[in-house]
Amino acid sequence: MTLRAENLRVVLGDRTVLHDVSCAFEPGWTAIVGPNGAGKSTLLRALAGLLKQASGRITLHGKPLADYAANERGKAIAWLAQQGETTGDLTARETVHLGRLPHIGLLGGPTARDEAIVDAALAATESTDWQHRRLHQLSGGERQRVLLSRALAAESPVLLLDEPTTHLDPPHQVALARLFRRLATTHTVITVLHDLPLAVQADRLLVMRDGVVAGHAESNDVALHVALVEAFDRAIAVIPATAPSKHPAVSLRLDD
Amino acid sequence: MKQDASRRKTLAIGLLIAAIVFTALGLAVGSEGFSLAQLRTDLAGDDASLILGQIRAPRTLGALLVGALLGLAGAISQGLFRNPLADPYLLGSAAGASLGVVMVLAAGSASGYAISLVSAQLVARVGLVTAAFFGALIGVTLTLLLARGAQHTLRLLLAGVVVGVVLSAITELLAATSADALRGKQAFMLGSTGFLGWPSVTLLAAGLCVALPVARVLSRTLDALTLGEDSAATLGLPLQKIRATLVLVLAACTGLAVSQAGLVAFVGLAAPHLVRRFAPSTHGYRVLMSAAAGGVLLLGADVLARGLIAPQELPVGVVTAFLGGGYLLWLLHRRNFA
Repeated sequence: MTLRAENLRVVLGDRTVLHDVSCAFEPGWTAIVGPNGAGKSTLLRALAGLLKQASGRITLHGKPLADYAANERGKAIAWLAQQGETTGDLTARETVHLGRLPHIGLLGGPTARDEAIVDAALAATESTDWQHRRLHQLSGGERQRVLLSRALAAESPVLLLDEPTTHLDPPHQVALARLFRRLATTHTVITVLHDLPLAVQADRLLVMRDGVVAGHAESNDVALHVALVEAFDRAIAVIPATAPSKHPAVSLRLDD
Repeated sequence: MKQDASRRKTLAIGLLIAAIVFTALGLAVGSEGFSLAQLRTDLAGDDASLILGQIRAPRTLGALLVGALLGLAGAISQGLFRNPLADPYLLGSAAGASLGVVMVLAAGSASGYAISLVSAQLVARVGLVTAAFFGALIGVTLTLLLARGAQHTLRLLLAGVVVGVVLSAITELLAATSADALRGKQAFMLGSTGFLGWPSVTLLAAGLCVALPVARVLSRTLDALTLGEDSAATLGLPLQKIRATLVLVLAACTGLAVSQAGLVAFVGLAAPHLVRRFAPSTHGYRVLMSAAAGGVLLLGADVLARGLIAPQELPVGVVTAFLGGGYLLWLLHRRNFA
């Protein structure tokens, strides 16, 4: 399923955050990267239909996103918010069940299939053990994994994840990167990531700078590496992959 | 998990027993206070049907229903605003209802037709109730207009505060011009179940019968909102329409309760809070139990208000304020206020 932004311009307050952004996302894992204030999260929110654009349009499978009914959009696109703020007393399992809302609606109840999908989503992020604990009783990393399970439970072909690895320790970051790779064979996975060594493990990178797309290509693309280094004011170095099937590496340049 | 289910069951049974006990006490307590001898006399007397059937029964049932509406409104309010301290009076309904009542009282006083809150005349009662109800609805409408809809929680909350302050200032101004209006306003602000008759009970029951199922059906939206506005908006729900519906239910519940019993304090705040602390759950359970807890709280407070210093009566709002204030102080003392 192709998600496409065409000449997208987004204004927040009196500031234009996205300038004429055009990009298309096919099944696979794309990491959106860029310095602070580059417009990464704004682009992701716009792609989720959460922001009103000043001009341009977003289409999903050729149809304008605005023309989708709320439940159809909920089935097609799953969203994970940055920082995952939560209130209330829901347990982890009740939270993951919310991912089934686009399918169940307000009047329906969960079927055995819904329960199985919730089980699988909890297992995918290794959250089964604390499924009956309340969200406010979990650590930041545990909560983040539950919220990711909620997004997975929607079974949407498009996953928009804003900093999904926040609060996670390295083993769980690696586990999630493997999960994204697995999902990317059938899903369109788009993640905003600050962690560049993790981001370059994606199939493709979209580099943002000052509200425009500075580069969008496969993570092994050498021209993209130049755009990436420039976007971060040469504070990083990209070490190219040693083989086409491998991924590049990123290091910080601490020397003058 | 089993412990959660057990606590939810215990709370439901506890509230049912409390409702039965308080209803019995509400029918029994009279000018002699809690007196079985007086109850026997009342039942045997010629005025039994008048005292029990026309005064105590509607008052008892009415208190239960007003409390249930406030408890339900409180649960919606706390879920909608994602804040355990959100009060159902936040959206300008209380200030609007007060203004409506004071306007009728001031108009009556100015035209030489003295109206009071305990007036038995049907025209006066209907006028006051109608003014309070429409005042509450106008207060909420102004809040919605100022907030440009119900889609932004913080803007809605701020607009409610502004509308509340402005309408209260107008109310004070009107009350200052008329001694009747000032007295009426004071009685209204304290809250009372003394005005409740069968017509009130019918109206309140009808309101609850509509509001409770609507809130129950929409309660998953309140669950979704616990994940934040953006996440809730991506869960396939027409969020803006549902939010507007919940705001209307909240306004109607509050307006209806306030128009019948005045500004009863703390019930709408404390009932959902108590339910949440004793049996944390999804909003589906919470809206139902908050209504039950609100009813039991107000009926219990009313029984106390009528019986503590009989034959005098305390304003029920004073009793709920003491109980609610005490509860909040206890929470602060435990430093577990969230």
